[in-house]
Amino acid sequence: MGVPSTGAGLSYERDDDAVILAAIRRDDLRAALTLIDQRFGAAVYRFVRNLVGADDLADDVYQTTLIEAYRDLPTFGGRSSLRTWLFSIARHRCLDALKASRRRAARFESTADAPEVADHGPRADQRMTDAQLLAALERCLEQVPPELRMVLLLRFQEGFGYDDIARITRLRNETLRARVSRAMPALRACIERQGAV
Amino acid sequence: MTCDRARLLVDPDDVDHAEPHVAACVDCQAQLAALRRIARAMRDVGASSRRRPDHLERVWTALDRTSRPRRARSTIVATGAVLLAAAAVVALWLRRPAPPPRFEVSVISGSGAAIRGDAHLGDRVRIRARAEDAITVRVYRNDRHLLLDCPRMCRREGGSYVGEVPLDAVARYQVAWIRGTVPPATGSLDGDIAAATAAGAQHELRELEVR
Repeated sequence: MGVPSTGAGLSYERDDDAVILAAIRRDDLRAALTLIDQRFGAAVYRFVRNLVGADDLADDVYQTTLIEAYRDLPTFGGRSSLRTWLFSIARHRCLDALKASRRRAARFESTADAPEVADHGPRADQRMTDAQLLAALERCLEQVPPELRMVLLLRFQEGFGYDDIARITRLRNETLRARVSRAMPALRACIERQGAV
Repeated sequence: MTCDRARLLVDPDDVDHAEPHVAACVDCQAQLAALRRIARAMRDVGASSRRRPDHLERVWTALDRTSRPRRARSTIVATGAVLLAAAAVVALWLRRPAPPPRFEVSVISGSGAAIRGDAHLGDRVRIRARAEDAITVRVYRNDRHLLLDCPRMCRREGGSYVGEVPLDAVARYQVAWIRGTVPPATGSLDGDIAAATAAGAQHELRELEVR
């Protein structure tokens, strides 16, 4: 049974940080931030955009993320990779933005406490085209609470391991696994409802 | 049918954990395939989103803009800190303990409470003088009898010499505060003051009358 690739993040190596870290050491912070933006910016922006749900807000949050990263670069301790560190900053800024805008009132019961979803044979989602599935998935993800959506995106879109996600979210590894395992069937059920419409 | 194990297998980290069961379970295989398809689809969520072309310029502009006020703020904070420190020093200086009085004479009644006004038989006179170099305080009765000679006969209380004399006779009591070189007391107020003055000392006199 094949194991699906979980995203471009798996190819990331911490050694890739070396050039950026060298720029930080010589106090060339603008060069360091430019490299960070080049290397991780697209993924971080997409992560932000998928969480805050609006281009303007995503632009602002991404800008704030880079500014905070720039200011914190001199104190970057290397306890995690730069990529993990940057996503951690982005996560905080997303939560701040969502809290401020209050546009994301929970419309979807917390998946952490969601009832178990029964699966039954071939279902609507299995008859969908990839494009239909993606569209339905995007709609369903918008209904997932932001904290959980972050975990799903970090895991399946960015390919972070649970240890890194734990560093980013400050949740326990086991908690993250449990939430993901409950969220996926719930997502599938939501997608199936979308397909039935 | 439901296959709980398949749900776990959506994550590659868990493949080895339950694979033997899933490999033999048709329902699990179907469910696993559906979940993995969703996981794969998640990689494409928001794939069309792009950063603004000028996003980095905006960051530099914001950093430049905020660094100036930050410098101004830091100047204000530093100035405020200096002013606060100065105010604290002034406040401490103003609230510093007052130095003891140079010379103080009080009458204490028989009940112990300090009183003002005329002294009475049975009261005590208390003298308090700031403990400085070359300070002498003497108490005489009727100008002729030396009753107290400080600091030799006084106690030290903080920065002061303190001594008491019972007013046990109807008489006049003289208290002499002298600063400077003082010859040994002779027992005569006039003689002692004259000797001290001759030696270049300054003096101050107070008098009580006990009736």
